[in-house]
Amino acid sequence: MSFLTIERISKAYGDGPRATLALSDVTLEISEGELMVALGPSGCGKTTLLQIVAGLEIPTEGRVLLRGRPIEGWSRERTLVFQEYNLFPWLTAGENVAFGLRVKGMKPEERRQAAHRILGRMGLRGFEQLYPHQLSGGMRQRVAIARALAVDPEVLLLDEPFASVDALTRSRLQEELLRIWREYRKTVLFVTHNIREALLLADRITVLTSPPGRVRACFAVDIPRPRREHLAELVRWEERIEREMAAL
Amino acid sequence: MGLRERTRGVPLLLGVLLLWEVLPRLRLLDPVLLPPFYQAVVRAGRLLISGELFLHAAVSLLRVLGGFALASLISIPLGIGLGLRPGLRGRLDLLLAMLRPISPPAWIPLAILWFGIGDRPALFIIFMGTVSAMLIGVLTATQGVDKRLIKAGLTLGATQTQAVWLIVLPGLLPAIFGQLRVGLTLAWMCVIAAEMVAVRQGLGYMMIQARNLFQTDTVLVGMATVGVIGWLLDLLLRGVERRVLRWREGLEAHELFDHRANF
Repeated sequence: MSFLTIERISKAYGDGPRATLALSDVTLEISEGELMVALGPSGCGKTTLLQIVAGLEIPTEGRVLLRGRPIEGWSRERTLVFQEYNLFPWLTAGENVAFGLRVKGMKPEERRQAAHRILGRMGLRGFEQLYPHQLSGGMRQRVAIARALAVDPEVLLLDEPFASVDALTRSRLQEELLRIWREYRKTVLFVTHNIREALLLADRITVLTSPPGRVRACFAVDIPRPRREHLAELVRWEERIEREMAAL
Repeated sequence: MGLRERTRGVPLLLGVLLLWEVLPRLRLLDPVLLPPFYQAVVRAGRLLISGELFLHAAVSLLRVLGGFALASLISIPLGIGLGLRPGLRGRLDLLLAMLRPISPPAWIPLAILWFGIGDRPALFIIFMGTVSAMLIGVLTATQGVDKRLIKAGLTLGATQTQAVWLIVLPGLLPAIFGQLRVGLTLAWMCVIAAEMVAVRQGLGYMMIQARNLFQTDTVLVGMATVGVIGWLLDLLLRGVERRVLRWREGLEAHELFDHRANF
């Protein structure tokens, strides 16, 4: 049964003859605890799709259901990790992670401990007191993921989170995301334009076309994890998806 | 900041004071129009001993702080409110655009008609002279607050009110400090203008009286007093700013340029 349902979503910007269509009739069904990757070239409306699921944008048509109930606006049950981190520059790493707990009304000492715990799991013990600009890109993105996890969401949305870090950091972050995903058992919707990244992470991949974004194909990836050790299969899958995307 | 950086401005200041002393002494400038520095120092000493300077300065300072506080209390919340609600701003824009070019001295006749003579017209003039500049500054800065940070806050469960207090306001603080400094400078400009006509006390009054008696040295003492107090207030404000905005250390543009200069 579908846990998160994106049902026939279309999104147009502007109206009348000058409207541009960003998403057209996109339907995705994600089960509880599943890691779904939406894969597509830039401009295919991936970010728009995530913003709609996060409740930050309203679709022109269609709706999003969580546990069968339509979502209404934004909520801490669906947290979003942005490509450009969007950490609060005036808060330390620890305070950033604790932000969601603070607005929920948790006491300072409790939320400090909670932030400490999650940062520790992300391998950032001892960095609580540093400000975002004192951290590297990879560390910032870990703080951003920790911040999104801290409020214990039902769904974690990630918008090309590793696009702006170097290749080495990226593969470490991918491993960490998988570990965290297994540990916290979250339902994840991850958006990327990187085929290898999609193959390394996803239970299932939905390929979107561009533009406007439409669902082109959906694959269940059956390569055993850890997938880096199955290079031949990765390459075979890569070719298959490339063919699919090139045939647009 | 080290002692060396703190005292970097001193040589230029001493140079100006030296010229001030020497030019009238050499009759290159008429000493009646510009009495030498030393004479102004002596005058300042006398005015201090008689308590006159202190009284006038204290009165002016209180007016500046009062008018400035009033203008800040109105312009900061209003600027944020208008910045976040463009609909409201549309209704106020025209009025603001027309009020802004009316200079503080232009309010003096009305201030006297409405409030007579004393503190109230002075406060009114300071308020009118500072509020719109600060309002525009805060409003513009509010429109520049990073929308993505607010999105991040909302998805983490912040209410709109929490987003204003915990995201918009801290994001605006650097700009607010900038506006406070602008406002304080404007307030000093206004208070002297106001005191030249609408009051019987204050540094502006002291200066205009001295001019009538041709005591140019007292005029200069008044000007210097404004300069020194203004400088001290700015120093205070910057000290507070550095403490409050500690997180900006390592983020500011000037650091790049300082770095090059140090080579």
